[in-house]
Amino acid sequence: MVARQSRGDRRELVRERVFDAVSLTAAVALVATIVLFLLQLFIASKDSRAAFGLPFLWRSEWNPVTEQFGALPMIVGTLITGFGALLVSTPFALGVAIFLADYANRRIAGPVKSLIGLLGGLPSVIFGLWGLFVLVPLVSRFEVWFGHLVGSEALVSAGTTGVGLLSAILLLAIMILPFSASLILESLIVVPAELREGALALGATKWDTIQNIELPYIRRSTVGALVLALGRALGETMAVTMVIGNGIRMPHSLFDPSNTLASAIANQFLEATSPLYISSLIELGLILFVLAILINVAARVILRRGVET
Amino acid sequence: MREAPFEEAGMRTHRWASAVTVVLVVAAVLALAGCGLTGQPSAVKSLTGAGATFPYPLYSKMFDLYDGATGVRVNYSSIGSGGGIKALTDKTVDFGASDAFLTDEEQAAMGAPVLHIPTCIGAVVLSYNLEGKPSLRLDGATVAAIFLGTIKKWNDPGIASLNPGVPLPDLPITVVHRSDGSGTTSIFTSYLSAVSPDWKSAVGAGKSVSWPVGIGGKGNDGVAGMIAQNKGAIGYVELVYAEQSGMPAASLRNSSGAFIAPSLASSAAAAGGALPDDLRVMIVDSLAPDAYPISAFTWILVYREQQYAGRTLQQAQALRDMLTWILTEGQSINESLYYARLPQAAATKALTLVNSMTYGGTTIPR
Amino acid sequence: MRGRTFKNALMSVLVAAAAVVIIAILVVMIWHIFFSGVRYLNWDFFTKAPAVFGEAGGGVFNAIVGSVLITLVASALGTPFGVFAGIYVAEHEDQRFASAVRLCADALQGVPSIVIGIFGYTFLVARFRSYSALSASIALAFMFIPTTARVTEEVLLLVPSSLKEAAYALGARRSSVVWNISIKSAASGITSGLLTSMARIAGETAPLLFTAFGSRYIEWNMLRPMSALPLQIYIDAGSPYPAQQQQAWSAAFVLILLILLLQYGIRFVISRVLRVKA
Repeated sequence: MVARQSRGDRRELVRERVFDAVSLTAAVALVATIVLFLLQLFIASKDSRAAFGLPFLWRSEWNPVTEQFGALPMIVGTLITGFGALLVSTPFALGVAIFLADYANRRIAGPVKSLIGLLGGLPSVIFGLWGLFVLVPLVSRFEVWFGHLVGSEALVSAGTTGVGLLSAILLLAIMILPFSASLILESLIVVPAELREGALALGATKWDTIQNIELPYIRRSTVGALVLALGRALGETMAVTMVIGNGIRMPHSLFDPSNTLASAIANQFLEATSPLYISSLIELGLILFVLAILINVAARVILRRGVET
Repeated sequence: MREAPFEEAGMRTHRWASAVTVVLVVAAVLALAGCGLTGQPSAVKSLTGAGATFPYPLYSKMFDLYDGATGVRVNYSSIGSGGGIKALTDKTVDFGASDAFLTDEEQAAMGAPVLHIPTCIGAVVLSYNLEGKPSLRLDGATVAAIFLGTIKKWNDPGIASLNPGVPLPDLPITVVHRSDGSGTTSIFTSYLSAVSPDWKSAVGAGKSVSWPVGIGGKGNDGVAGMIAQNKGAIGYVELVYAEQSGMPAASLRNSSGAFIAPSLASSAAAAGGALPDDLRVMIVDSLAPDAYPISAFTWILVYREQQYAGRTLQQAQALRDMLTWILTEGQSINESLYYARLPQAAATKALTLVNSMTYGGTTIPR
Repeated sequence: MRGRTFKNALMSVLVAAAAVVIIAILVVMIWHIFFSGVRYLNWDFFTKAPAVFGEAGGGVFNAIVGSVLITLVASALGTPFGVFAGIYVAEHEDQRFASAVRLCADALQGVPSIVIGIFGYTFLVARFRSYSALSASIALAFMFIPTTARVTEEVLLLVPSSLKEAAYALGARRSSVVWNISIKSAASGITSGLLTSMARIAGETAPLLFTAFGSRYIEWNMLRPMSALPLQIYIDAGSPYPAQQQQAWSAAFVLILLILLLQYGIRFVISRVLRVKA
C-alpha cells in the first residue's frame, strides 16, 4: 500500500519544482544573453557589412569625413599590441614563476605573490593613468634618443609625444604579466616532486631539472596560459586607449600613434552621427568579439588536451 | 532524530542566505529610494546636455550659478560638438551644444527642426610652445601652409618675414589638431578655406577633416595639453584654454590687413554685421576692421517642438527657462571668462528663437 | 659537467634578474600610485563634489557615491542569475546543455568590456532615451554574472560526493541536498567569489563610458546620469591641467581603497559576524 503524500512531502515537491525552474531559468538566461549579443552586433553592423563586405577586414582607410571605413589599421594595431605584449612579458612571466617555484624561500615568495596578486587586480584605468604620466614620458625620451641615434627625422617626430604602439605594448606587457605569471606558477607547483627529486638524485643541476623536467611537463598548460593572456591583452580597452594615441592611419613604425579595435570604439562611438559610421564601429566590435571567442576556444582546446594526456 | 543534521546544516545555510539576501535587498532599496525621492512630477530639477568643449569653461560656471539661483542642476558633458549632435539625435539629452551648425544630413537625421541658440562669442587662437613665449604674427596663408605641412620649421622664411626681429629656432613644427568631431575644427577649417584656396581644395572644412600632418588631441583641453607638453608645437584652441595653460596666442592678419590679437573686444567686433534670423552663421574672416579673423558663435541646440520621446511640459519649461537665463542674466559672466557677450542684436534674435519653442504645437507657457 | 654547472649558474642569475626587474617595476608602480594619490587627500576630497572648471578645491564624493551605488545594484542584479546558473551547471554536470551553459559563461566572460558598453548604449540608453546609473549597473551585471557562475559551479563541485550521497540515502530531495549540504559547504567560496566579482566590476570603466554619462553633482537617483570613480579618473587623466590630473591620482587611490575594502575588509567582517569562513 502506497502511503499518501503528507503536507510536508507536497511542500517539498513544490520547493523542488521551484528550485529546478529557477536554476534552469538562470542557465537559459546566460545562454540567451550571449546569443543575443552576437545577434545584436551582427544586425547593428548591417549597413557597413552591406557597404564594404568582407574587404572591410583589409581595407586600410578609416575616414569619417568621406565615409570610407576599413578595419585594417585597427586590426593591425590590435595584433601588434597583443602579440607584442605577449612577446615582451612571457620571458619575465616565466622567469618570475620559476623564481617563485624553485628559487625563492617562503619569506620572499609570500610578499612577492601578494604584490603580483595586487597588481593583477588593479583596474585598467589606473594602469592607463600611470602609463600616461610615467611610462609615456619615458618612452618619449627613448624614442627621441633612438630617432637621433639612427638619424631618422620621421622617427624623432613620431616619438616626440611618446604615445603610440610602443607605449601600448609595454603597458600591456606589464598588465598581463601578473596573469600569466600566476597561471604558470600554478602549473609549476603541481609538478610531482618525485620527478624533480629523481632527477636531482641522478646528479642533475637545478637548472637541468627545470629545463628538462618541469618545463616540458608544463608546456601545454603554459601555452594555454599564454593564449588566455593574449585574450586578455586583446580585450583591454582603457589602458590602451589612454596611451596609444588614437591614430586613424596605418602605423608605419612602433613609434606611431595607432588604434586597436577596442580603443577606436572607445574614442569614436559617442560622436559617430552617420549610420554608416556607427555601423562600422559596431562591426569593429563584432570583429573583436569573434576574435575573443576564437582565442577563448583555442585556449580551452589546448588546456583540455593537456588534461587528457 | 535524523532531521537534526539537516536542520543544523540548514540553519547555517539559512543564515548565510539571509545575510546575502539582506545585502541585496538593501542595495535594491537604496537604488529605488533615490528614484522615489525625486519622483514627483511637479518641478523639474535637473537637465542634461552634451557637446562642445569650446564653451565648456563658460557653461561650467554658468550652470553652477544657475544651480545657485534656481536649484536646477544642469549636467553638461564636454565631449565635443560631434558628440553633442549625436546625443541630441538619439534624444538622450535635453540639449546639445556645438560650434558648428548642423549640416543638411545631420538636420535630416534629427527628424524635426532644431533651433540654434547662440550663447557667446569665442575666439579660436593659434597657440604655440616656443622658448621664451614670443608674440608671433601670422596670416591666413602662412597658417594654412603650416597645417598643410608645406612650412615645416619655425625659422621658415614665411614665418620670419611676418615677424622681423623675433628669433625663431631651427625646430620642426609639431602640428596639433583635433582627433574628435569638433566644432572648433569646423570654425578653424572654415577660416582656412576662406583665406587659402590651397586649403580649400586640398582639405576643406568640417567637424572632422583629413589632416595632412600633425597629431590629434581629444577636445580643446586635449589639444592645449599637447601643445604645452611639446616644444615646437602649434595648434588651434579656444582663447580661454590658451590662457589657462599659459601659452601665447598669435595675432592674425584680418581682412583689412591689420594684425589683430585675440581678445574680447576683437572677437565681439566680428559679430557687428548683419545676422540671419536663425543665427546659423559663421563669422570668421569678418569684414569689420577691428575684428579678430577666427571668431565664432557657439550654439545650444534644442528641438523646436519639445513634445517628443515622452518629454513632459515641465521639462520643456525648465529647458526654456534655462536658455532664457543664459541669454539674459547669464551673459554677465561671459567676459570674466574671456568669452565675448552676445551683441544686443544677436541676443534679441536668440530670445525670439527661444520663445518659438513649442510643446504640442503651442507656445510654452510661463 | 662544467658546461652544465655554468648553465645552471647562468640561468639562476637570469631567472633572478627577471624576477628582480619585474618586482622593481611593480614596486615602483605601486609606490608612485600610492604617493601621487595620497598627496592631495584631505577631508574635502572625500566629502565634496568637484569644483567649477578652473577653480581649485572640490572632491570626488559624487564619484564615490556613484561607484558604491552602481556596483551594489549591479551585484544585486547579477547575484541571483550567477549563483543559480552555477548551481544548475554543477547539478547537471554530465548533461550537454550544462556544458553549453558553461561555454556561454566563458564566452560572456571573454567579451571585451567595450563591447558590453556598446550593448549598454544600444539596448538601454538609446532605447530609453536617457543615460542612467541603472543602465550602467545592468551593463556591469553582464560582467558580474559569468564570473559568479563559474566560481559557484567550481566551489559546488568541490563538495565531497560522500556528503551528498549520504543525504540522498537518507531520503532528501535534490533541492534539499543542494541547499542544505552543498551550499552550506560552499557558502564561503561563493561569498568569496561574489566579493571578487564585485571588486572587479567596481574598477571597470568601458561599460560606464556609454551608459553612466558622469555628473558633477552628488546624485542618488539611479535613473539619472551618475559619476563613478573609474569614469572620473578617465576624464581627469585627459585634462591638461595639473589640478585635475592630481584629482585623477587621488581618485585612483580612493578606488584602490574601495577595491581592497571589498576584497579583504568585507570578507573579514563576514567571517566574524556570520562565523562562516569567507
